[in-house]
Amino acid sequence: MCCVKICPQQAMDVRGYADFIPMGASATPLRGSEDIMWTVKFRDGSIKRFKFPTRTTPEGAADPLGGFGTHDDLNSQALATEPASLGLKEVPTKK
Amino acid sequence: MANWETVVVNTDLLICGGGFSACGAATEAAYWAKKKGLKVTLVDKAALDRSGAVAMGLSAINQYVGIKDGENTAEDYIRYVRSDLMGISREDLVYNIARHVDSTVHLFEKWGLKIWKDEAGKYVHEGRWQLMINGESYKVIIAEAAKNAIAAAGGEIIERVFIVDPLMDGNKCVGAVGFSTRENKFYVFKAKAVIAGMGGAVHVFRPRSVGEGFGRSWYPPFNSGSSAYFTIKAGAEMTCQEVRFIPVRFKDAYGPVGAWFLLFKSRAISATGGDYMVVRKAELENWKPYGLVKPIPANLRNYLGMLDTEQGLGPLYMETDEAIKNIAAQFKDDPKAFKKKMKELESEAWEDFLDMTISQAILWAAQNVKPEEKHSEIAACEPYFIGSHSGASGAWVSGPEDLPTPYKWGYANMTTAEALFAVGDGSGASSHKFSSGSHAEGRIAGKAAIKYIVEKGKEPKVDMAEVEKLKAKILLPLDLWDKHSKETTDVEINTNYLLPRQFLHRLQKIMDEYAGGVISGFKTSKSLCERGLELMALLKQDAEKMGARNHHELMRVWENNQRVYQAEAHIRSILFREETRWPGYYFRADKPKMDDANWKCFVNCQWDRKTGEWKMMKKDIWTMPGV
Repeated sequence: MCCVKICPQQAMDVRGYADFIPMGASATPLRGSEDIMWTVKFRDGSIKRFKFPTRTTPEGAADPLGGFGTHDDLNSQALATEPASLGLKEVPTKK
Repeated sequence: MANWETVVVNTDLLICGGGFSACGAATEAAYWAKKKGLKVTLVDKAALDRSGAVAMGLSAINQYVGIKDGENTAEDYIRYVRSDLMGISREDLVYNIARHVDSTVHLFEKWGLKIWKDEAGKYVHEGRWQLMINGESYKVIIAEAAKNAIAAAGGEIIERVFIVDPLMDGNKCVGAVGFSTRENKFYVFKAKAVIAGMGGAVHVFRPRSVGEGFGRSWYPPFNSGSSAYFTIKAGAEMTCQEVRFIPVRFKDAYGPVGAWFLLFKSRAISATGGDYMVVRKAELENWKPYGLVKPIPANLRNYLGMLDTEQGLGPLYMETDEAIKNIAAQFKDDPKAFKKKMKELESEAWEDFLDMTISQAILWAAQNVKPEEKHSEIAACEPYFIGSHSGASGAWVSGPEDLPTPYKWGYANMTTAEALFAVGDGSGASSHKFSSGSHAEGRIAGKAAIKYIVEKGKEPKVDMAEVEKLKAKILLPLDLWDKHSKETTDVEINTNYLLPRQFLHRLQKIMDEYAGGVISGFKTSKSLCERGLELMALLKQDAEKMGARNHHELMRVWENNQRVYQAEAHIRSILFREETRWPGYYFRADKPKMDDANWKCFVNCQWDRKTGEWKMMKKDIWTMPGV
């Protein structure tokens, strides 16, 4: 289905697994850059449509450090963006 | 031998895998590598955007502790995992992931993942630890951050190369070999440290659907035990190889049940209407103290349902219609609000599947199921190896440096093989890390591996004569095909080779019938395990007779070899542990009770690289002081 979702021409169609899914139903995606629309067709002919968001940032824009402060201490327990990305003053520990 | 080019890639840190833990490792390691002038190379057998267990998407983040808002502590998470795994967990590892996982989730949100928020701007919880997300592009977003991090550090991502064996210099891992799934290229990676993050294992046991739906497993069918095989073949100590996971899911299409149980508060019932969690409550006494803990451990919830099924009380049903009506009932006096709430719940129910299990949505539509009108069948799936979820199988890795754990040898998440780190489904006894925790664990290992390279990294010594032998062995299935495929009128019937699908059926038959698969009602015994091992020994010999007609089948051959090692480690561990501790995962019929006096311990195993013999051992449980 990943290929179906990404196909810009809407050229691919699928059916359910032959050994347990009755025929006649479909789920067709239409994917945009920030949401996806689904058309679900039932075996009895009824149709439902849904639209869900997929992301909040432009495609390709993910900043690995998320804009959080970083540090240089390779020996500490704090990962690159910690403790800022934890929202804490320090990484919790147990003595 | 097949005439394939040998491509040598030199790097400092090699990350094998492309799922959440590997992306976490890449994102973190790239930051430190850039500072230290080191190179990070990530190798994925598929395309990073949509590879790994979260390829299709997810509708929830299952591990968020909420430390900054005082919702829970990392210690609370230890208690949760301890109980769910019936007392068997590496509390140092669980703590380490739990204290870092929130920052992973906060990064995900910055990268563009839409996490549901309430009117006050707080995350919407599905359950105590679970957050609801619009997760159709979850993997795409996480891969994007990893790609951007590696690009910024001058590293390299190599896609569509399937990693097979580790390269070793004594007990030290110095790289890996694999092959392209598209071109005639054999890859040799030389590295100062290696991270194994290649997922868990599916199709070791026979799936319930054996026709076109053979690939419709709950966990992705492309997870073939690559991590387990890699670490076992490196001679690393392994843990919890008996702790498989069997999820109860919507039957056949395997739609997850988390949103239904946790968010919608749905009940599950038998065909006669009994709620097995209520009707069979007394059974939980037999598994105390864990049976009396809330939430009731996943395997015990499974077990109560399995008892219903065993007694002919199936099908089991998820009461979706009742759950939705109960939630909407609060608006019963306001028809307009009631209609709006019903519409919202309907949309949430469908998104749950459309985000992550589209085949379940198609199954509902094909059976004319509208969840607000009609309940849906649920069932136990087949067993999987997924140490990141509610199973626990994986490599035995070093704990964090700052904790008073007895299990540490210098670098967090390093296996007992030097310079080889394991993460995600690849590291054991640290269950319930799921997507976010696996990413956090990857980050932990990414930093630790760079620290190892800075402090101890040396130019890898790779014996190219050994590499040539490995190349001949790995490409042999192509040679067998070329040599023998014209000997018969039907290429699928031959006395000199087996095709990978045929071999896989044989492995699955052994596991299903002797190691407690679906057909055996998840039951096994000493005698069954011993007979299973006899048959497995013959299967292992025949593994050298698998033939492959193309790149794809060559990958299938080596996926099968990986599954065989996972399978053998599993049977040997079940055999060694003479008790039943996780009855809803497997039942030792000859040892039907939990035996804390003798078996409240880890079962570890190690494959000897020189002799090929397995060593089984017990390891003590260490509990975090004061927790």
